[in-house]
Amino acid sequence: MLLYLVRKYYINSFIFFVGFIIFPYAGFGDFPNLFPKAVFLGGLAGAIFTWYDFRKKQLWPLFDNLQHSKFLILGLMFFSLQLIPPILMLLI
Amino acid sequence: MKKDDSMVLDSIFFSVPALKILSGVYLELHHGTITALIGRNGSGKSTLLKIASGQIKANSGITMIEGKRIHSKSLRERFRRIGYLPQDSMLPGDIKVSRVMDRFPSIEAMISESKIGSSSNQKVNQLSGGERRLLEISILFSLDRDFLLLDEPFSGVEPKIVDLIIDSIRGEKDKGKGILLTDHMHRYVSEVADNGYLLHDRQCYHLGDDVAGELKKLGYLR
Repeated sequence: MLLYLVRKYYINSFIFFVGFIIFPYAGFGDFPNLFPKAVFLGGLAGAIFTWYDFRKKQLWPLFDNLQHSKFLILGLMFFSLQLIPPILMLLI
Repeated sequence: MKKDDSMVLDSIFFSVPALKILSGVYLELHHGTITALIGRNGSGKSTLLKIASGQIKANSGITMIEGKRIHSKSLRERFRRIGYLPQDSMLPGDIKVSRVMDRFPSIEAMISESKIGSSSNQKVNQLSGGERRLLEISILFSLDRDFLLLDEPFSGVEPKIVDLIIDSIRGEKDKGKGILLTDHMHRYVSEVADNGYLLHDRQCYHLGDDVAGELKKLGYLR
């Protein structure tokens, strides 16, 4: 179940990330400057959307029953995404 | 019965704008006992179970488990002791039954008598309503919690699966679990319950040990 939540969060965040990077980039934005902002905003929007989507589908009681803290998991996944820009900066 | 063996909801008040739903509700749930919660549509049964499971916060009132107060924010602490079956399905529809069975291997014994075992390649949303309910109840019972709150476990379930569910509820009771059960299928609830409460006019009234007899007197059962 945890993997299900992780998968949904990363998919949602990726969709938001694409939205947050494509539109400003199409408006002649600077890619290296846009990338960390898009990761941050995509991760944040992904967390909010995933929380809302699971609430709407009434899936949170399952995670409560399994004693998985939803806010902790979403928070950890958000921070895991924030590691991507510095890691890429180090690699490039 | 000793008070410290129980889960107690005390002085629960809950209202939404322009509507009082619960007004000073008191309810006790004991180990090894099945307690029925009966009431008309909209009387606040599901609301009370949501408050007991920390899904919504009461305006005031306390929950105590074995004499220890459970604070409203500590969901983790609450769910260490309780299992909660919500009224609506809590399983994601787009995962395969086989993945659920891999995650909860102990449910296989309970669902072996139904058709779920043979449809493990199906997704959860391809199961019938009754099979899905049985799967959820099996998961909940496999978690081995002291108190189980079941909100309409029989709704939309065929009689054969209802019998399976009733057998497993009785099995949990024999293991010493305290079970709070609410459903509109009063015949099934009164058949399985050891005692009960009637939620009427925003308050809980204890029905005593003869739940079926009391419900007949009150006109809830023929």
